Amino acid sequence: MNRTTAPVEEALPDERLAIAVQRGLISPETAQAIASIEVDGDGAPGGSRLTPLVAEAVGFVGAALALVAAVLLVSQFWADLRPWARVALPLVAAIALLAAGAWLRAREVGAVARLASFLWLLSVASFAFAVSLVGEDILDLHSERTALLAGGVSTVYAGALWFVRRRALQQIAVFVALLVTMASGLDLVDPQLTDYAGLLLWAVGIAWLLLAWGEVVQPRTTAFALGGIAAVIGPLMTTFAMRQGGLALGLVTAISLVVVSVTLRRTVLLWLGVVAMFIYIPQIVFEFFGETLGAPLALFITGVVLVGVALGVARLHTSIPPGPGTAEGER
Amino acid sequence: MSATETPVRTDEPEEAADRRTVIAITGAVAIVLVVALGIIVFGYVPLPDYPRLDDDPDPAIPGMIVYVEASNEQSCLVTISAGGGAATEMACERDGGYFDQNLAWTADGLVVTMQYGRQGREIVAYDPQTGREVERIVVDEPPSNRPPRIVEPNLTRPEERMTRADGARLEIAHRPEGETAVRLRDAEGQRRDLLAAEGPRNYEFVSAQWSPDGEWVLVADSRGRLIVVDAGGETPRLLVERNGRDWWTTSAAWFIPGEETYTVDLADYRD
Repeated sequence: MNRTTAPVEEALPDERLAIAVQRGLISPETAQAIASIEVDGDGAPGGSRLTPLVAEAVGFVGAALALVAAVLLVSQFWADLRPWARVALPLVAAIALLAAGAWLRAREVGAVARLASFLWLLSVASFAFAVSLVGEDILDLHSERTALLAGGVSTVYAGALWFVRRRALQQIAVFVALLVTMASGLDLVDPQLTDYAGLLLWAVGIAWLLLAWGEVVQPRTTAFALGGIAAVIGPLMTTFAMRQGGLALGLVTAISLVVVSVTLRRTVLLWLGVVAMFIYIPQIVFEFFGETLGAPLALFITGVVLVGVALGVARLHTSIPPGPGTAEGER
Repeated sequence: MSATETPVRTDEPEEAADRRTVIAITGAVAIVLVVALGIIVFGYVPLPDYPRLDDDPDPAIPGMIVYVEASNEQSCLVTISAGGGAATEMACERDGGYFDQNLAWTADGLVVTMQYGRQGREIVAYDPQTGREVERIVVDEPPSNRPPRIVEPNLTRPEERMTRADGARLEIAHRPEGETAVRLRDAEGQRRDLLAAEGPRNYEFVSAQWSPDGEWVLVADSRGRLIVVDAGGETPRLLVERNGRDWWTTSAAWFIPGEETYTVDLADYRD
């Protein structure tokens, strides 16, 4: 392939690259370099892009089947095991998964890297299960203390793995473990406080968004997505305890996400904000105006508002300029 | 999600980036702390508090109460003097067995429960003093042409123990503003609150029954506590309070020696 003489628009397999060159966003040389990667597949000469993907998919399905089989096998004699043996099984699994992930870590590319990341995620899950068994079967702790112990220790473990490998799955493990820890902490203070666990979820989501904005957590796109999802779901959970307050918080969060998505040039936040609007606006219309307007009119207003939101979002989406978010492959 | 994302810093000066990091961390910690603290301070609603009979037993309250106390591991029949004192574990079912909601006394002071055995439903009588099983009668399904004779105080036949001999009837009321109440409706239809309380969300009184002499009322709340209140509704006191997280009380029955009201006869089940 002649990378210097062929017209860029003809040589490129992807029209988007050509458009990027035409708009002066990237140089023809950069476009050619990208195109060569696209054609060769991760730079592997003559390789097909489809083959590693299929192999990876088959690998994950195989791993899932093996995992299910192992769980089924163990469950047959689980009740007969001594407590220490119950703890040992997931603990050994966690260590084995950690070791396998570490061994694969040397090959930090493509499917192998994702598999290593996945193995470490499983290691955290297995470790959390082992710790919960320690709490329940050996220390004889109450359920909420067991959850706090498992969540807390797993947060530290997941955090350590995330420190070593800044991957999306490692971040998800930390985030989930942290949420479990905080929710069980509320439960420990008083069970009735778990009514407001959604509010705490919202706060953690906002905090995570802040940390993503401050580039404290990596990968940032994952952090924006996790934080945004938590911030959207949290108020919905809160509606069980405080209906109107939860709905109002949800709507404010939705609007804020849309506004922030433009400021930060993050499409993922825009879409989360839109989803949140579709969740909260109908409920708010019916909650506050359902009785006075009647169901048909409330439904009509909901429809009109959502159409307005959709049009507004379409405009916003095209107006979000390329920025750091796009550089991370977000758009 | 991209697995190979790398942070992309624009031409932002390093000092500004550092400031942004500090603001992000401070803001994140602050918002979580403020919300968590707000939940603990404003989200906590205490349970209604009453004087405790185990601290200060009242011998004026007559008789004995049996109740089912259950946890994830076991289900136990427990007796306690209605005037307060130490509770006595009478019999326990473990490994999946449990005592049914059906709970009653015989006129001669045996505790009667309905359990599910190998042959179907069984009426089992216990001596409350020793916890010894006195009799077990297989009843399978009760005859369809007559109502079950075992009183089901909390679920299917609460009306028997909620109605006194003079027609005065107990009612449970749940009010929209979150108040729960036990009301007394006398024979003339006049209603008054016997016991009313506000508590955490979902807190409510779940059952109420007369003592056999009609002078007292035993109330169970949704936290598994048993409260004794006199018929005038003036002195509610806490009879049983276990850790509502791990233990809960499912049903109760009151016995006063010499009183046959609300008792059952084992002879009705022998044939």
